[in-house]
Order: sequence, then C-alpha cells, then structure tokens
Amino acid sequence: MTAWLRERRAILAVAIGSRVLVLAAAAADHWLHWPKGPPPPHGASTSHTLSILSYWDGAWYRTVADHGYLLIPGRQSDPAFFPLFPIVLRGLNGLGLSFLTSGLLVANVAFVVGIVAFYEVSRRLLPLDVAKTSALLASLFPMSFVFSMTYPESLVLAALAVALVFALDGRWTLSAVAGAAAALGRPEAIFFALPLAAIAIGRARASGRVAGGRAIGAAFAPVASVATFPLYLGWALDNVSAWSHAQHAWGRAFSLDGIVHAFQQLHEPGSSPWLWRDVGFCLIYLGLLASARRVGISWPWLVASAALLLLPLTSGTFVSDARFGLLALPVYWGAAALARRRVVRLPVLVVSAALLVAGTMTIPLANP
Amino acid sequence: MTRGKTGWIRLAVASAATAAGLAALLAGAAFGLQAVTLPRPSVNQLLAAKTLHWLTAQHAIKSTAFVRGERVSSICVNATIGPLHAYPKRLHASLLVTGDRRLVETRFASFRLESTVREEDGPLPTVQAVLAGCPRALGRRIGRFLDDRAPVRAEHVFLRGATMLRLGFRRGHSRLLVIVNPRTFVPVAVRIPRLRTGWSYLALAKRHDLDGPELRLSPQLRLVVKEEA
Repeated sequence: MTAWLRERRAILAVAIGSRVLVLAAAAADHWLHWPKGPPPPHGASTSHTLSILSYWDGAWYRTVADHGYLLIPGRQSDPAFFPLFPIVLRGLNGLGLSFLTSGLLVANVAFVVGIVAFYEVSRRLLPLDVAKTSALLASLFPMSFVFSMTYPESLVLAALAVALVFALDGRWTLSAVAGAAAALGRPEAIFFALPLAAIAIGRARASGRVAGGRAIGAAFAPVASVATFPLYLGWALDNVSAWSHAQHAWGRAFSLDGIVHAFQQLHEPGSSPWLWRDVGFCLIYLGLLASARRVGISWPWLVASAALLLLPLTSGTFVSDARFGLLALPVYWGAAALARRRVVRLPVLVVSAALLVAGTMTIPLANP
Repeated sequence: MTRGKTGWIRLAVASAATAAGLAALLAGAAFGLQAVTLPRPSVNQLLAAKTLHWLTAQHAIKSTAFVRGERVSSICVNATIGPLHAYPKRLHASLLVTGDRRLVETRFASFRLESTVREEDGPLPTVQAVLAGCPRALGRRIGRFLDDRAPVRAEHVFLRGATMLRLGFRRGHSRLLVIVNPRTFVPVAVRIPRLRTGWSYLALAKRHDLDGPELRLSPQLRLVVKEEA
C-alpha cells in the first residue's frame, strides 16, 4: 500500500493541488465580485463563497435532483441532462448535505479518483513517464475547472477510467458496471464502447481464444445504459423523445449539415466571442490526438475521441466543445508525448495552471 | 484440443447470450435506479405540459371576453419585431389586435403600433396577451409555472355542454386558470384570478380571420413587424 501510494504521490498532490487552485480562484471571484457576468439561471445560488461553481448547467442538475424531469415544450428544460449526477446529488441531499455541498464534494472527490484511475489506464498502455505526465497535464488542463463544477464530467471521468482499467485487467463484469455508470452520466461515454471492444478483442487474440461473453457485454454496457434514459423519460413523462425535444430547445438539433452551420455561426452578428474558445480547444484537441497517434495509441481510441469532439458539431454549434473534449482521454496522452522532456514539461504545467485559474475566474461570463 | 464447427457455434451463442444478459441486467439496473430515485412530475403537470405543447404549434388564436358587459373580440398572431433602437436583434413576438388597437408583445418589452412603433411600459400588455390566448405569451406564462414546478390543480368543469378540465396554477401571488379540452388538451378559456378579470374564451383562428383589414400593416410598420401566421 505504501509503495502504491509512493508511486502515485506526485499525481495525487497535483490533482488535489489543482482543485485547491480552482476552489481558491472561485472564492476570489466571489469575494472580489469580479468579473460580473449575466445573472445566473434560476435556482443557482449566488450567496455561497463557491457559488460560481454551481452556475449554468449546475442549476439544471440541481433542479432534476430536487424535482425530477419535466419536458416543458418550447422552452429550455431539463430532460437534456443525463441522470447519474442528479441521482447522486439527491442521495447525498437525503443524508442532509445541501445540493451545492453535495455537488462540489462529488465533483472534486470524483476528479481525484478519476485522475488516479486515468493514470492506471495510461501506465497499462504507455511508458511510465508519459503516463505520469499525462495525469499531471489532465489535472492542470486549462478547461479542467469544469471538473470542480457541479457538473457530471468528473463523475464520468472517474467511471470511464475505472471501466477501462478493469477492462485492461480482464475484469469484465466490473468494467461493465463502471461503463454503464459513465454512460448514465453523459452520453459521450458510449464512444468508449469502441476502445472497450478493442481491448476485449486484443486480449482474446493474445490468449488465442475468442472474446468471452462478459467482455462483449462490457463493450455494450455503455450503449445499453444510454438507451435506458429515453426509456425512463418515456415512462416518467409519457414521451420517449423527451431528450431529443429538450436538446432541440437548447439549440442542439443534429443534422448532416450541422458542421457547416457551426462554422457559419462563428460569423453571425451578435454571436458570443466565447465560441472562439471552443473552436480553439477543438483544434488543440485534434492536434493532440494526432500527437497521441505518434506514441502508438490505437485507432479505436482515436476514433472514439474524434467522434466525441466532432459529433456535437453536427448540432450546428461549437458551444461547449472545449468541455466535451475533456473526456477524450487520448488528448492527455498526446499532450504528454509533446511535453515528455522536462524542459518543456515544466513551463507547460505552469502555463496550464495559470490558464486554469483564469478559466475558473471567467465562469460567470460564459457557460463552459 | 481442436474445436469443431458445432463447438464454435455453441461458443458463439453462449458468448452472445452472456453479453446480452449482462447488458440487459445493467440496463435493467440503470432504469430501476432512475425510476426509484428520481421523483416524477404530477399527472396534472404533465397535462399542463401537453397544453403547452399544443400552444407551441399554433400561430394564431382568436378570443372573446366580456368587459363591463360588453363583448370584446381579439385576434393574436405570432410575429417578429425588430431591429429597433434598443433591441438590435429580431424578437419573437405576439401581434394582438383588439378592435383598432394593435399591440406587439415580446418577452422583453411591449409596443403599441400606431403610425409608428411606441414602447409600452408596465405589465398590462403582457396580461392582455395572456388573456387573449396569444400562443407565445400564454405559453410563456404556463412555462414559467412549470419551470418553477408550481403545483397544478385539475378539476372537471362543465362548459358549453361538455366536460372540460380546469387547470389551476399558483406560485406565490401569481395565479392562472386555464380550461382545456380533456381529450385534446386544447385551451378553451383562460383567466387571471388576481386581476378579477372574467374568462376569455379561446378558439383557433381560421384563414378568413387572418384576412381582416386590422391585420394589414402599413409598409412602414411592415419593415419592423412581420406576421408569422
């Protein structure tokens, strides 16, 4: 145990340290009343020191945790948000914690678990130094302030990384459970059915046998889990299409020419300048995926990550692509491959940490 | 030991069955988790959402109210307004015509249409638009109650020889009553009790209702106000 901890001490320290940075920046934002953005959406508290971490979608997850789902036609409504995070919030609220405290606790603890699990995935696939650097970079990644917000991203990161570790170790039932949990947190988790399937086939080939039923089941678990959400909405709201109707009201209607609209939106008068942040990160993520290929990351991982980045664009907008890409794990491997040398790694980590603080401070200005 | 063709088929079937079983088990657990832990909206809230769904698909509604014993008819059509000095983007709006008075109501502001567009202060234009059954204004009002998860009361009432459903919304001081057809959820009457107004009776506007001269705007007004019906 001590040896296990010793090996991961630096990673744990940076993961926890990065969260301290984010929480401190959020608190500074609150105390300084700067920068002032538009008023937060209904239900978001502004009085708590860490309130800004519960802004934007956080208010919607809280509504679901408190009241459940309701599709409100013609308006933005909550069936657009997946249920795992609100279920956990509701559970902790039942134990006496406020929704804000529950959300912050879950997000930050899950992030640390997620980073350690991500390191475990990385060291099974890559040289130890790249694995370590990728975990450090993921902790301090400029957009990683989202992992401290009352959003499901950190819970999904943890579940996804745990599912992949179990799969790489051949513990398929546990992998299936974790994969199903990840997909109940965010639908993007289904893209990782591809690397899970690749792991199952790879292990089967190595042992000279066909992939077992549990291995195939683990690859399908995220897909099966995602499918239960519309079914649940059909049962609870008498509307099996509630998720897609709600997505539509949020301006996310998926179509073949969506990517063209996404580019057109950039030049529309009155479009938010924050869109360029999403465009910039999208390009960075794609570059880092190319770099991940150079350290030998296989195609199923890259295809899953590219789909995770590019498929949301078919809804006609770049909005939040910077956040969606946080779950494309090979991105961090690509970054680690570029920052492998110490002379590069240290400045990159310092600049990332500075951008992480800056990103946190801008939460009131734009939905990440 | 080599495996025969039958052996391979058996293995494949067994693998597929195990995979399907595991996926089905997890899907069942995921569904059960959602069903057990998350509260469901009330039946009445779902009825209100269905009424709202109907409203969002409408472009024009006509209404009749009795004000001081006098019958007042209005017609309301979806429109857009803008760009205006204070509102550079086009806004979704409701164009409400009552007699020779024309009002444009939006989420942000209301405007009186005379020879020019004049902004109206206060909540009265919105109230008028809600009572006239303007799909956008009434839909927004119901939507706000549902956003806040306000409780919805439903009672059967008798109206024009048929059994209807009266939906009552209440949140703080804000109240709204809407009578809907219990089979189609189409709103047939609306009332805001706090204002002590009577019921406004609603009906879907027909093509000939939209051809009236009161809905014809001057070329100057047509530059800023566009009907969608």
